Amino acid sequence: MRLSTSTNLFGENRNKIPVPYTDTVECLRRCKAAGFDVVDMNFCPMRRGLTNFVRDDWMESLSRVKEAADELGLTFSQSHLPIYPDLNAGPLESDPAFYPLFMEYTRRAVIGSGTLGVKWAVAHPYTDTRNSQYDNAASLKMNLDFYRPIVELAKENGVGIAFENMLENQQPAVKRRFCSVADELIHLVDAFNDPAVGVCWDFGHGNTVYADQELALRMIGKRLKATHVAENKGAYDSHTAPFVEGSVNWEKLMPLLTEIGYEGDLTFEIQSMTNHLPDLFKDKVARFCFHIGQYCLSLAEEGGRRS
Amino acid sequence: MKLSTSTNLFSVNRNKPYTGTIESMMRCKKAGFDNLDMNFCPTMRGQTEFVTDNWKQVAYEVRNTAERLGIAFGQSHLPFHPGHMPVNPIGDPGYMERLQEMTRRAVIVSGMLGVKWAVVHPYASFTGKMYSVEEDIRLNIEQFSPVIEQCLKAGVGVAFENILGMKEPMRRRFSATAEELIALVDSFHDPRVQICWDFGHGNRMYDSQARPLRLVGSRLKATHVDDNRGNYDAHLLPFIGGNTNWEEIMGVLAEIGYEGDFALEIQKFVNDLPTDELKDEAARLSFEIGSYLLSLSVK
Repeated sequence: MRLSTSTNLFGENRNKIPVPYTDTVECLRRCKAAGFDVVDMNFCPMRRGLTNFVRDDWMESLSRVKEAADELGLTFSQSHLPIYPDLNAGPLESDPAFYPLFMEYTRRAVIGSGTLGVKWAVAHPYTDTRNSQYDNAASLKMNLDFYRPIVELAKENGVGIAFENMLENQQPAVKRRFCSVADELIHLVDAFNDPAVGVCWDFGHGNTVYADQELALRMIGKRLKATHVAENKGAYDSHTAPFVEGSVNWEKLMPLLTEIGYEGDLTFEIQSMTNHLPDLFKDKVARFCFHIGQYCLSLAEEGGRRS
Repeated sequence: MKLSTSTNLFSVNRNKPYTGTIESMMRCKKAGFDNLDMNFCPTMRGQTEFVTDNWKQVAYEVRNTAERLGIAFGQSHLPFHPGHMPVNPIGDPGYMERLQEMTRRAVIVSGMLGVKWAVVHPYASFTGKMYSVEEDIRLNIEQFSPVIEQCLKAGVGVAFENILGMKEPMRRRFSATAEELIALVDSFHDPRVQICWDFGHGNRMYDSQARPLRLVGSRLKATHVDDNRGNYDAHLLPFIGGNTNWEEIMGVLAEIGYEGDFALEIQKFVNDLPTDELKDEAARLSFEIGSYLLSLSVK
């Protein structure tokens, strides 16, 4: 298991200074300087028109990112595909202008993941609210219909798709979300019956749903292919670093990853640590987070020694 | 304005007992802090050496250590009742007597340490007439007059703090707004009774804290500095996980001529960190970010 971080550690900037969104190559350079050798390529900002991947010359940007990563000695093990903003509450075609654009961004993110050598691209399961409320069969069907072509494209590019456990109760209109609990997530992943489809476990989301995430992780077992590591107090998805204002039992969960045979990376998604910082402090705080991550890895290694 | 931190920066630990006051002071100093806020709040949970019989001896040792390290105590935080006055917390019949005794000790030690302003939490009437400013002022005068007398005798001023906006089952708490806090403080008619502004509490109440700070004006004598997102009192380091507009606040502090301590109260940023090394690194970061904030407060 290696320590990794999402490129979003350096994406957003306070008061849009020095730039609204930091260029991906610059993000990579600063992640490396903080100590990270492995990164998670975050394509989510594309839906807000951010990153160079939304431009017509996105392939050139991708080449530039690949070259920079190679020069820096950085490996991409995960990526995060764009998230459709209201797939929970409205029909897929509710925004006729945006939907085709979103599908194009997703296509670019999948191809980009393949180009960068990503093993697992993380995707959000959606909740069907068009046909019924809280009908898991309807949600399952919607996800299978929506993601089957994306899984095929990913496989063509040498990338697997890891479905992520969701945050519960995010929108007033949807009190319960499909795949915020482990058995629904397993049901979805197993329905693909494809080794190129697995699970990404988000510990922050898990902490908003579970008092103890152990059983959920044990149920997922070898399906686990990717992680999102973030802290919160269970009330909302605050995305701070482990041990900073949260209640996740890292001492229990990190060794458990080793015990269940997880072979992927420990991937920080802790953008709240840096998003609001003046730029001159971001590198120091990123370095501090790297040190916290190393401690998390040491806990995971303890699990290996125990088993 | 001087950068300061509460001694609670190092006190609570994830996997081991409470850190002693002198060790906390030494680590705060190592992180860069020359000014501290002596936190007596944990005494009500049976923590710190000030709950023991030799509390005065401890106070002398703290004072000697502070002199040796070159540390000044500009503020202290007196113990406070966590619920609603004058109701005893359930299952703790001796609470009020203990609160009185711990407050008495905290005042004496504050005086010994040269504290200028001891911070207290105003209370809201819960058993009597609820949501009445007049009744709340009467209750606070009744509860705090003896404490203020002790403080003034010890050479310590009293700073009433703006309070969190809501505490179940009350939907509105007295002195969460600047107007109520000013009404309370002015009712004492004493220049040694003034205001501590807590920016975390303020961020739960106000979109912009500029107007309330301007209203408080020269009454402002102490601060509690921490960040949150306005949803709960997270006590995080400014700029980390919060949305407080520090650029605006620091400008207003300069504008109103605030000269007291800028006291970090950011224990949640460090409490749960699992190693001493990570805590020391977090404390150093806190000092650097605090110093940066002070640099924004230029007239």
